[in-house]
Amino acid sequence: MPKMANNILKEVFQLSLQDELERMIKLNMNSIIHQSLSDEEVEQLAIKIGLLPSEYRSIIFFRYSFNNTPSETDRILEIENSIGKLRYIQKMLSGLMGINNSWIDDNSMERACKIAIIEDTKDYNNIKVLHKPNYSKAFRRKLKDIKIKQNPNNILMLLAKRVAVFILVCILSFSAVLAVNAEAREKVFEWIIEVFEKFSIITPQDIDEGNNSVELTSLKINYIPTGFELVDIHKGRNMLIYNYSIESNQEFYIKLYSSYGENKSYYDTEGVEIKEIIFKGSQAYMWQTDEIIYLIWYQDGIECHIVGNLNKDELLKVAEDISK
Amino acid sequence: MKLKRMGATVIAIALLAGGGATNVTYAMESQEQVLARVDYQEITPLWNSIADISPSISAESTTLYPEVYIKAKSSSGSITGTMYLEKYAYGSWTTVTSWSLKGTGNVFLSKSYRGTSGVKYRARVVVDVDGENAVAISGTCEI
Repeated sequence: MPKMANNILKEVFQLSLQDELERMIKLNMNSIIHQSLSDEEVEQLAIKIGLLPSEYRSIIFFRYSFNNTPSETDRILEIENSIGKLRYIQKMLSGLMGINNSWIDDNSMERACKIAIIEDTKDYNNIKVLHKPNYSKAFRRKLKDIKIKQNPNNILMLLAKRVAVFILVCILSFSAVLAVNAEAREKVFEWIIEVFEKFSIITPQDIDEGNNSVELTSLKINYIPTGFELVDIHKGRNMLIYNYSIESNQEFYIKLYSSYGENKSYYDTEGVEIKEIIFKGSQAYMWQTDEIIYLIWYQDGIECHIVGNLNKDELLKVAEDISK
Repeated sequence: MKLKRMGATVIAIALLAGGGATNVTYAMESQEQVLARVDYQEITPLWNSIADISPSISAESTTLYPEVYIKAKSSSGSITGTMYLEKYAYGSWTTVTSWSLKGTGNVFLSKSYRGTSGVKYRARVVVDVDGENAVAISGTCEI
């Protein structure tokens, strides 16, 4: 048959189908008698559904398996006149099942679709997806409603992805803060404490680099416990030490370090727990060996240490009352 | 999808840049520890009489300022020792000069020394407090 004649015939058939579909939309559904099928007939119907063209299978699955309205089906499948096509398929299937004066009822259609859709999707896991499907939001909502959007593996993957994103954001934020904020970096790396069995080495890290001009004498000791007297002062370029004592053999000293020096303090910390505290809005450390209490902190650009065998509250009060 | 990819790219670049800057900072900060760690074994494991040894070093131009404060647990504790100024050359530390120290209860020693430009220095202190020996080392200072 010549090619032109073929094309003409095709167009004629399509026009004929179009007319049929138009008629189906206008069909009075109340005048149609529905007939239920036996289990055996339902199985036969399922096979026939499986033989339908893909678009028609989708239309009846959307109607009988996913409970979509015709307008939803039109939108999701991006087709037109799904209601007319659905009725056309119903009529055609009824005819194929040998029911000429009535249509297959909805219940039988649902049962047949349930069998057909299993058969239709059994190879889905083996399909190699070349392009990820781009579902519409409405369709994703539908999938979620019928809970087939995610299998357990996908849920784990989703969780893993979210955890990864969270960790990534945390690392990014932390890195960004440290990279751009010198003040924050000082807070984090203000002290390094290396703990050994008998002692610990305390090293300040780049404390307030921009504050080199801070004079150690600018810090004033405003409170001294009753009875204590200043015994001696040692003043160097890197450190300033005030020694206080009382006749009852109690003593304490305040050691202030400038940021000029590469300072290290070796302290007795045998068998003690060095507690990290916030003191004067900064990271500080405190511990006690025998009767000696140690407190180190940082204020006003100066590294401060106070060590003594006096009462802990008194020692803290002395430290608290040190100011510019 | 393009937006997502762009977002992911931006995050990755920011992460690399941020992480890199932080690592540079951290690497600079941790440099001293590596040097100090080599000498930890020299510390005598006795801290019954010693409360505090604080060595320090700073510099202004080519003048070095090594200092140390030593405190005995007892106010009558006898302290003797030496503070060494050391320089780093050919992969090891060698003594440039030293000062002796002596006192009771506590000792403070502060010195100055004209060094050589481009050389790394540190203060090393060897003390004896009531028969208890210890060694402590300051951070390093390059002039």
